[in-house]
Amino acid sequence: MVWVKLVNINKKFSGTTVLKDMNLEVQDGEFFILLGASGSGKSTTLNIIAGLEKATSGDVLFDDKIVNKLGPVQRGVAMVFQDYALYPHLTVRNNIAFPLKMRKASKEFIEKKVSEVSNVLGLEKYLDRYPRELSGGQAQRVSLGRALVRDPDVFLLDEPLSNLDAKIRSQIRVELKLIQENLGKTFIYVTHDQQEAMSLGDRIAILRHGKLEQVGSPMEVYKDPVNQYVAAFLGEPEINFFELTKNSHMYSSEDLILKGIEAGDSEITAGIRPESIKLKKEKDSDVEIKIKIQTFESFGSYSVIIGKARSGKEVRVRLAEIPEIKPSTEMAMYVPLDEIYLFGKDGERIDKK
Amino acid sequence: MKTEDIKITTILAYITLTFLAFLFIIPFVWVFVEGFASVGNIGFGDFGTFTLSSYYAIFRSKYFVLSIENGLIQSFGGTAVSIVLAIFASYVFSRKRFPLRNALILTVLFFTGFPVFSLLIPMYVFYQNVNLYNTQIGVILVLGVLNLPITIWIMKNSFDQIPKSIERAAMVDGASPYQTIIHVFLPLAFPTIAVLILLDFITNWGNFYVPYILLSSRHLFPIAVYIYTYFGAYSVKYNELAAASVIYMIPTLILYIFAQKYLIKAFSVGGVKG
Ligand SMILES: Nc1ncnc2c1ncn2[C@@H]1O[C@H](COP(=O)(O)OP(=O)(O)OP(=O)(O)O)[C@@H](O)[C@H]1O
Ligand SMILES: [Mg+2]
Repeated sequence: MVWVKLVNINKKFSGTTVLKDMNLEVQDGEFFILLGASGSGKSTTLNIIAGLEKATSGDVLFDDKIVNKLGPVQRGVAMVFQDYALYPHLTVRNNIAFPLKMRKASKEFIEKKVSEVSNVLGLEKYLDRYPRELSGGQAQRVSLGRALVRDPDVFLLDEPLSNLDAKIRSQIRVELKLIQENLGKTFIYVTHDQQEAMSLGDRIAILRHGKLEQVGSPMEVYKDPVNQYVAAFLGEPEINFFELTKNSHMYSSEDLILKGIEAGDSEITAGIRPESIKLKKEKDSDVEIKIKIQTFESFGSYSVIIGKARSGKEVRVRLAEIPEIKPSTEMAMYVPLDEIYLFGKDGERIDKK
Repeated sequence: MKTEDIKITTILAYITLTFLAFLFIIPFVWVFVEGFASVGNIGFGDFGTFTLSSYYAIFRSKYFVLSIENGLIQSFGGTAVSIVLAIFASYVFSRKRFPLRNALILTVLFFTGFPVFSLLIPMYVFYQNVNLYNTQIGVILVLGVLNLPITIWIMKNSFDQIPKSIERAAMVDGASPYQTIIHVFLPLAFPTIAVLILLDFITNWGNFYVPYILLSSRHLFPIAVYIYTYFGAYSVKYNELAAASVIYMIPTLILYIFAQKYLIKAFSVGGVKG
């Protein structure tokens, strides 16, 4: 039973600030995702939680206990590294057994544990191989096995799937989720892949330049982003943005007109998710956009229209059905007013619901 | 034109190489043949008949046998001192950040090229004061320290190639720094360490000045020093000298054979990445 808390964590590397005033609480048994672009400080955060790196200031708490000075073992964490970090000179069996050997467990115990873990991960056939003789997916499993064998309270995973091809990735993703649910242990999982984050996480924290932008369940952060960055980071295809300027009582651009909106800024940005754009008008309040179709991509269960609005801005529309449309025709499309996000000049959300 | 140029340079290269090969091989051939000769002389004159008597003669001498033993003790002792100290120093230099780290690394690099023999006379005086003069352990310590800078330098570079994440994995897995060295660094750097053992041993085995200056008793002389006693005041027994020289080469050859596998590894890919 462990929850992890970061209080006012700051981290500097020789003068440059990498993490800024980070506050974070990870509940016991939660699958928690740290999501961010490359260089946003995800690994640094994970290393600070693990005790591999010291914060410049601030506290790390495990269950109300400040653990700033404790190492990874005393904190009871296990870690899966981005490049697996298997010991190249040891067989799979000895790689998995390594943590137990370091704590001088008995031979029988080690044997029992290793076969238990290799059973769960389907590694029985590979126990006598060396890491260089494994595929990426197998190496990834060994790395996970080395974490599982110790029975830690908290699992830390640093982009564990990033080196795998798409098919194995989704397969191991499911396995991971099942393992976490069976163990009921706390997982803190780093990724830059928004789909991975959405599908795995109980909660997601979005990190940008060392600052937490938003923390919440996948649906919360998707449906209710606090700023333009979060809105753009989540969603496939990416959200469409339109810049609007104030004209007496409405905001408008060449592409669309929004009426009855009160905001301080004279220039705002409207964010419209591709799936919010419909082919038919449903309500009087729906906002119209004229889009000239350029091409569309079909993905079987859905398709994406790529078109240009009047201003020449590229717009993506996601539709459940495959539409019967011809390229180069202009169509009127409609967006329900309550599905439009509004952001102020500073990128913060101004239409909080 | 072009092909002719190539031909001429190729022929020149072959001539030079053959000449060099002869230069290197001739002494070996002479030493080997002379050791079995009944007549002691220099050059390829009259060798007399084939005989093992030179070998009988040198092994009848108690001091010659002792000198082999001393040579092995001092060379391996010195090697052990260098390697063990270098392992810990290299780990610290490679993995820890501390004040003056760079200055210390540069100092180590400086000493790899320093003519350390210039320190032997002060060493001699110092040794007499601390009662290390004319002792095996005294020679072992000096030999060990002499090879230490280059050993640290090479070993540090090989430790540097071990990925940081493997070290971090060991830390997460509960290995202490000491366990990390034993279970991760040493096995991964083993090809390099094997080569270093070979190089240190060869340097020590061939070192004449250190034991010559720091030892005075005949029964402590290593073979490198003892072999010079065959140059008598009035006459030199060349066939016995040659036989002793052949014996002198054997340990190096044996070590080369053992380390061959690692020599190839160490000089090909850096040898660490699995
Ligand atoms: N040891 C270090 N010394 C100096 N700067 C560092 C160090 N480690 C990380 N940084 C810097 O800190 C920032 C965050 O690095 P971090 O590795 O945490 O990013 P990340 O989010 O994990 O990125 P990625 O997705 O590429 O792994 C980067 O700008 C990086 O250059
Ligand atoms: Mg990273």
